[in-house]
Amino acid sequence: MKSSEAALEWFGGMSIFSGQVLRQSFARPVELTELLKQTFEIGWRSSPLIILSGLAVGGVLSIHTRATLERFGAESMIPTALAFAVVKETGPLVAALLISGRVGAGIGAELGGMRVTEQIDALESLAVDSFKYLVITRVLACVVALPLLTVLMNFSGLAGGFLAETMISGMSFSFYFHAAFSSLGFSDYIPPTLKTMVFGFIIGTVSCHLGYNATGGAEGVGRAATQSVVLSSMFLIIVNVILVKFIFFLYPGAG
Amino acid sequence: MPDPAVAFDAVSKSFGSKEVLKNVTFSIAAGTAFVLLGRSGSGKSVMLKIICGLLKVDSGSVAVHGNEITKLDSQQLAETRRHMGFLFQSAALFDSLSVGENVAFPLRRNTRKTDAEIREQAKDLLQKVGLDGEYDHAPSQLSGGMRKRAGLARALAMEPSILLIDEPSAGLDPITSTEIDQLLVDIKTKHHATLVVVTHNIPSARRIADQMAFLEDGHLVAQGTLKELEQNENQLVRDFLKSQQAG
Repeated sequence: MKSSEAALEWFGGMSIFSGQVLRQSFARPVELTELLKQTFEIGWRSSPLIILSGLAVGGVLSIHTRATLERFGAESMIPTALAFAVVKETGPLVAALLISGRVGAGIGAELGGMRVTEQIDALESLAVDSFKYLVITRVLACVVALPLLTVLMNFSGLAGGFLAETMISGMSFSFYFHAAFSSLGFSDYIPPTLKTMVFGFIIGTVSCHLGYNATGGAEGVGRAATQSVVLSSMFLIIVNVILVKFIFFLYPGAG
Repeated sequence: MPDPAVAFDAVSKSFGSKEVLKNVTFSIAAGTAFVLLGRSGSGKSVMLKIICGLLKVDSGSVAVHGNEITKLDSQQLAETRRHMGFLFQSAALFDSLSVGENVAFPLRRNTRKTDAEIREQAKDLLQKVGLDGEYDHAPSQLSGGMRKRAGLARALAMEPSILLIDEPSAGLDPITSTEIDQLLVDIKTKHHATLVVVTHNIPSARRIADQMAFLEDGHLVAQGTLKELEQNENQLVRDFLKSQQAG
């Protein structure tokens, strides 16, 4: 009973926090310097992780796809199948999960640390709106960075697939990328990429909520960091199901 | 008669079931130094945070220069805070900024001074608290006492009319502690600033205070000058002052 009450209380707090984020995201003044700094931290600094993971995921997907399509003598379909798999689902979701691990934990720990060492109170005492300065900038940075990182993930994934394919079958660069891109339409590429803005909002809001309201010293900071990853990953996987359904509703031909 | 710098009227504050302040009433005249004494956990730091509007009271009212802090909107509260400085118990320096940039932070946020002017002013402030040469160091490279002094430099940056100071002597050697106390007295005299100081250090309180108050179990049990408190009818207050003197 107690744990369900606590869960309800948490969801209530999270809903109010999300509403506050939505409301204040459009309110002036904008903390532009901090927003750019956070976008750099979250976006640019995550790019090596995204590129390396994209290459590996694309390579592995290519190997699996080849193993399946070879049975039907449809090896020439490998770039197309891979492009669909990467661009429509694997790229956006894997990019978001990686960012929730790297950035979610970082935000949870950083804001949690600032809360328990009175740095957030210090900001307020210096006439700074800590919510706008710390929370809104991080959430917006996640919202902006996620689609860009997804594009990077998609290209890395296709590049990884090409490397694997060219090593196995000697497939040419021009054939591979022509086959991969010629079959992709607007609804295959844009909606799945833009849906990662929602993932960015989830990662930013959940992590900021846990860090900003952390209590209990070092243990509380650790808890905020861990829960940021666990909960934001869980929420974005669940929300992904709804978004995929929604995209199919908007673009019936997307399948 | 001018408004007091700070006025508490029947203030109560609880955290969960723990009542930290119980019907506390007092006022602090502008331009004076008011020292809050009491055992650890008696609610002294909570009072500082209430004055700054960081914590809301459960009942009663708190006025700063005549404006009730709980009734201010966010812009009015920010404006009020621009005239306050707060030295936190843990110093609360921003980990992501250098020591100098911590001191420069309020100037960058609240003034239109050039980068060079801000840097120069931050260096002067660091020199005042004995930290010249530490501008580019990270807060984590400083000792506890040095962090405290850097926190004080940051609190002084906007030349506040009300300075809230939580344990200024904690982690400082007696000589530095005396220097910091003298600096606080100078600020009070030169800028007519109001000091609200929480301390356990009686020699420090003796150097700084115009008025003192003793907080016990959420109640303000004594208020007056050091001499008056030393002759207070409350045994605990007298014992507290004696034990500190012995220490």
